[in-house]
Amino acid sequence: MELIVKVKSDGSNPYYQDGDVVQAMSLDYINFVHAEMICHPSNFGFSTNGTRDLGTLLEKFQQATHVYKFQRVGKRVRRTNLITAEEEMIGKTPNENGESIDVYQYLTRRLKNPNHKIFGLSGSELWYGKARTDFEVLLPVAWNHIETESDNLQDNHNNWPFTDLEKRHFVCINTSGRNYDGDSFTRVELSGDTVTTRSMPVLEDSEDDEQPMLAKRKWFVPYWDLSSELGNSVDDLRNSDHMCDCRKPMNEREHIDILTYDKVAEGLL
Amino acid sequence: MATVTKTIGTSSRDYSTIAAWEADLSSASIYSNNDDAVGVCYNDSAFDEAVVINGGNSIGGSAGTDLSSRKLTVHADSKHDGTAGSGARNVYTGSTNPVLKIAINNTTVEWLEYDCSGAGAASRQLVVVDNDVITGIYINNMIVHGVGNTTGNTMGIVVANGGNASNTRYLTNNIVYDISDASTANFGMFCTNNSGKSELYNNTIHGTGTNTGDFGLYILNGNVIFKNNISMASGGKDIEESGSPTEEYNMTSDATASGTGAQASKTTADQFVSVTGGSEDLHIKSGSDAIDNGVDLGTTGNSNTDINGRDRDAQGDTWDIGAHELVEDSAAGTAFIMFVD
Repeated sequence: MELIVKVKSDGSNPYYQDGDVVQAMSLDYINFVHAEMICHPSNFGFSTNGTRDLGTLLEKFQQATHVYKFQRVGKRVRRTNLITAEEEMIGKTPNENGESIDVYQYLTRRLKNPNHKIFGLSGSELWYGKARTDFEVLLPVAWNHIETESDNLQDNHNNWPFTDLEKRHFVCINTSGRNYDGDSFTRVELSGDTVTTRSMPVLEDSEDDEQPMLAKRKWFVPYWDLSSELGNSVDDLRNSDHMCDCRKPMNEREHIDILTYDKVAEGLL
Repeated sequence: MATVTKTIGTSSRDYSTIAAWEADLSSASIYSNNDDAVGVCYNDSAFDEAVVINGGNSIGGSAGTDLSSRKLTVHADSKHDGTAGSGARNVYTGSTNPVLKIAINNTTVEWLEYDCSGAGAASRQLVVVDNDVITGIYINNMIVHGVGNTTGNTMGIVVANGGNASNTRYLTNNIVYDISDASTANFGMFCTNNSGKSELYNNTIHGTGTNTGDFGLYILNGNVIFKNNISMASGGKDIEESGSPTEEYNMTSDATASGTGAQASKTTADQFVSVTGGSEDLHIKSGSDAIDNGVDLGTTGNSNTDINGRDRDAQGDTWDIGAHELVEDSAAGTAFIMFVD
């Protein structure tokens, strides 16, 4: 997990406080973002009829990252659920769920987009829809395609692309969990709720829909007390002209409990 | 006073996340008093984040040194084409509620797609204008769709309480669909009973819930003005209202559109290019009842810019209802496509 941490307070709550975790990124999400950039439509060409070629890395990535495949059959579309293999034909006349499509108008508009993702031959165009978010399933498939069909290796895409401005204005760090075996331990990646909760706000406990925000972030990193762990002085971390990147290789990362603290548990709210 | 533009994306931009751009809005090394901050998103990869926009006050810690306005927008090359997955987007997988909260006046959010179909159960509200945020609010040209397995009170775009008949809050040319979970109480666009004035123009809402307690447009305040909106295929009513809001030229698939120019009880399948799950395209199609049946709103609240970026006002169009202004293709510029039965 990688974190971007606020430097300096923007005011009293509910504004950002010094040390707040602005955003947390899991390794899965980092891998996905790199995969998306590698497989961006702008990196691929067009066929002579203006569609994308079948069997390319772009198509394989789309297939790995979407729930449905659509293929035109005359004036109708065959929708295939890529998870269940269920198929259905849909056309201008609504089906029992009220679904309908005008294939001509749909494809005409899509093909005008220079970043379109319409594949195949005229008359049997193919496309994918509904983004998947089950990274643990889709990432191995997607990265297998990328490593097979390009020079990119997943292991070289394990870091969040923090910008120079972010490295000057924020504290950019990474952290790990631990798996214990007796007295020894191995460092492990963090995922799921451990990641997503790190950038959540603190809301007032209320039955109402509208829960006032007590704090913009629940978790913070007291970087001012962690100079040795982060490998940078407080003065450097607070200097917006000084670029700091506090990320470390996995075998050197600090445990998450050393770096991140819950304001509620710490009695700060 | 200057306009300060920063880029947002994962391919060598100024910021890699929307949250980081927002978190820097009070930075004195970037902004000065009365600046207009613009964050321009790129379609490098999907964002996955919940954001509260309330930054830009007390720049550098100096009270009274504030941004004049904030705008979160999308670069021209990264704008969506009116369908999911085609432009800069936030595909949210976390559990924060709401996913995007506008919590400060003078804020614009436009041209982003919010896809929350993979979000956690707690993420019930996708885009929210917070309590007492009543001035200079613009939510335009967004695509908002999908919710996780929530437990009710699920909402696409929400305007919360605050203000009165003088509010300046505009929600225009947005497409909202598939705000639908198994429980009841799904709402496409929702203005609360104490929300004061909001103006909803040329939005398209489709497929809000499947139960009788699900509503496409849910307007509970008499100061609200809504015109030229399409709301169709809701589980309950396409439009539910109280407090006598001002309504004209709206279109529904049930009988709930009323007022001057209302297009009620229209057939959903006759209106849109595609209402197929996973391949939705809520552009209106040839023959739609929405064509040329809207009212000309000039440039009010940016209502003139449709979901494709067409300026209805500048082009002198006879206004359609909904987010899309249909212009029949001329031969020039039409993609080649062959159809054989």
